[in-house]
Amino acid sequence: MQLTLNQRESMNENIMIIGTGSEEGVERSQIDAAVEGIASASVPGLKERAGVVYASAEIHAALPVRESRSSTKDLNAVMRGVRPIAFLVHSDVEILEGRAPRSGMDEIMVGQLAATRLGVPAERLAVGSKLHFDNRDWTISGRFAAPGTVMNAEIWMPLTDLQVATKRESTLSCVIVTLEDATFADVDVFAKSRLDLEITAIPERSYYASIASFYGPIRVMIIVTAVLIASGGVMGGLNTMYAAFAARVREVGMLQALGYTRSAIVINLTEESVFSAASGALIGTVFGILLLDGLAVRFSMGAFALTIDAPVVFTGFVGGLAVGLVGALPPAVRCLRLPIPEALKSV
Amino acid sequence: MKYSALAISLISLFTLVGCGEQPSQTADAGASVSVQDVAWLLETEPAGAVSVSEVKASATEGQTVVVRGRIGGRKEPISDGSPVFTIVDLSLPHCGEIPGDKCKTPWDYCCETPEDLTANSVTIMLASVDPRVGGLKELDEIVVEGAVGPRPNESVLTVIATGVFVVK
Amino acid sequence: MSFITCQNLTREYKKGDAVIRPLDGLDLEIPRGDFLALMGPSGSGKTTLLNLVAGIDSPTGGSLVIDGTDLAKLSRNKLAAWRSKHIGYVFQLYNLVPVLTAYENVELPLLLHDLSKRQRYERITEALERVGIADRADHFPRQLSGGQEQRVAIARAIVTDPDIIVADEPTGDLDKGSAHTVMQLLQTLNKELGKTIVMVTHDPKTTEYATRTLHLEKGRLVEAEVAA
Ligand SMILES: Nc1ncnc2c1ncn2[C@@H]1O[C@H](COP(=O)(O)OP(=O)(O)OP(=O)(O)O)[C@@H](O)[C@H]1O
Ligand SMILES: [Mg+2]
Repeated sequence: MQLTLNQRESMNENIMIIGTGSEEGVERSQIDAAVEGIASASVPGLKERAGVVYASAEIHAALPVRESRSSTKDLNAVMRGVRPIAFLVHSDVEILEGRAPRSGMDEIMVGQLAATRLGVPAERLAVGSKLHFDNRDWTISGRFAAPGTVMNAEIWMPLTDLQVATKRESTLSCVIVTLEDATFADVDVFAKSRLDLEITAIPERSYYASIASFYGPIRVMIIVTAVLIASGGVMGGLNTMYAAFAARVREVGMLQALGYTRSAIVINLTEESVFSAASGALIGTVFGILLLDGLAVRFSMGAFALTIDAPVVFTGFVGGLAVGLVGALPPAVRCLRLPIPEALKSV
Repeated sequence: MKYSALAISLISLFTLVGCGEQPSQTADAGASVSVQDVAWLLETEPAGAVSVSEVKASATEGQTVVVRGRIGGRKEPISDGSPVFTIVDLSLPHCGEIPGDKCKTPWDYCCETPEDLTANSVTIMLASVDPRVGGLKELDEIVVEGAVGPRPNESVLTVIATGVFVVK
Repeated sequence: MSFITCQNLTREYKKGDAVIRPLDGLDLEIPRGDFLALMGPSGSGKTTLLNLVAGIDSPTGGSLVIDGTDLAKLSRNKLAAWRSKHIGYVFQLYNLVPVLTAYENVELPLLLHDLSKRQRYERITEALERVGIADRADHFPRQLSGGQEQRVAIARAIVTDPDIIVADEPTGDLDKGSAHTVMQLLQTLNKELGKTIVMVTHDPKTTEYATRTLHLEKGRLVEAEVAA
């Protein structure tokens, strides 16, 4: 099991310019709107297509959202106000349905896991439906996917609309630029020499990595839970094994009476057990993939999908086999320690 | 004495390895460390150093300055692979000097107002890539010799360093 | 020396200070081709003796020599190999593996021998035919009656062509008719194939099929042999 935090390919070349002192949370960051233009003009080697520099001015905000005007329940949404360039800078974002929201039209766009984040059914955020915040209804104009990134659980809307909704006037949360010939150092030189702008450059990847470490305890909790479940499984497995072997003491005695050696029987029993454990692990893996893969987990910063990938499958499978092996040996040895006449008498 | 420069570079190599940070970078740094790379490290303190705030108030583009300050002013005053870092006027207390503050990054001066911090900070730019190669680290008190770069406004001041002395 | 020779054969269990001696210095000779019925009250040591002869238990005193082999001198694995060659064991409760068919149950002891699949097939078929149950080869134990199950168990005991068949109350769980069939079968194996059979029984009727009957009491033989 693994929480995948926004660490996709595009992250390698995206640098976030955020307010100094807000390195730990872009939601708190306030930088001058001018940074967008100054950065585009002063950092050489940023990615550029058709005269447009890949510099995405953004607002990140956690906002209470309601299902409708009459609803009284606040849902916590993570909002990102963007300009169209954001769809180029964040190359992981793919529009699944509908279109990008137009500014001034009270339109928003939702990520694949936004519904999980809000705790509403996925259908609730279908294209054309509405959410209520800042005293207005907002229409969902489209849905997007950015698998494995925090963006997947966000709600995106035009930058200026979110500026109004958050009453931030002309400040931004951050500017995210895409490197081409430039390196991180070029952006860092810009950020550190423009002391007047009070900005800091952080590779997008590092930013989310530090967020991930900030949320380490959640990870630990998930791991502890998983370990508990797994050890429960192991105990259950061992118990089952003991029961299964206890029921077969007489059979083992009979086999020995026929002339089977203890080692042959141990090997046989272990083989059998490993085989059934393997089938079990296989079934478990299939269920895991069918039921858990992509399952969204909610927590304060966003929603993340559980990924069941090759290493996870491998670990699970090997773990299952180990239970088969380790689980078989003690009861097998135990029931073989019994003298044959006694084994034959057992019921 | 070429000796000590070499010694410093060796020491810095050990510190890098010792920190266990960024192992890939350590290898790179190790490969590229030469006397040349740390030629900007001075063995003797340049004379006539003035404070950061003084330089900030008066220096003009192209002027040669000698400025004394402490590495810090943000969470990451020194960033991997970047030749620039920031220093802060010694008169500003860093978080480590404030009793009871258990900040993990005391060099970020998080207790100061942004305005104060800006007025008391300058940017230092090295010719070589990484200040850490010369053994510089957060909260080091240093004296920098160099030329003042362009100043589009009074908050901006970059010293293009020719020499850095670390005050022990 | 006889085919099976027990001299001063003793089996003791130590429980703390107490010593239980189910077999107490037993002397017994069983010639090849004998069909010996063992009788005696419960706890007299019949099963204990049988298990020693079958090589699944070891004496704590005296000697047990079968066809020149001193069983006490064999290692555990050698003893297992010896069993697979010389002994066919018929249990009171059949002890068939429930998830295997009659055919597969009979195949079990053969897997310890170096035989091709074809050879195994021939031997299994022959054994099943001899016990008259070849038509039930594909049935699982639960689909068979007790008498049929015991016949499958006898097929399993003879399929490796052992010299000795030991049977512990083989009819103990069977009705009269089935018991008769099973006893007839054992008698045929003794008469036609020359198997040496040692059988424990509580039913005096079954001793009629044996060549002689011995009585055990408190771990010793109590009566002179009675010829059949
Ligand atoms: N493992 C053991 N530990 C201690 N005593 C044992 C053990 N096995 C058997 N005995 C004792 O040995 C004696 C003979 O047992 P055995 O099973 O040979 O009797 P049996 O003649 O076959 O009786 P039954 O007709 O009831 O089957 C009994 O008193 C029994 O309690
Ligand atoms: Mg008995």
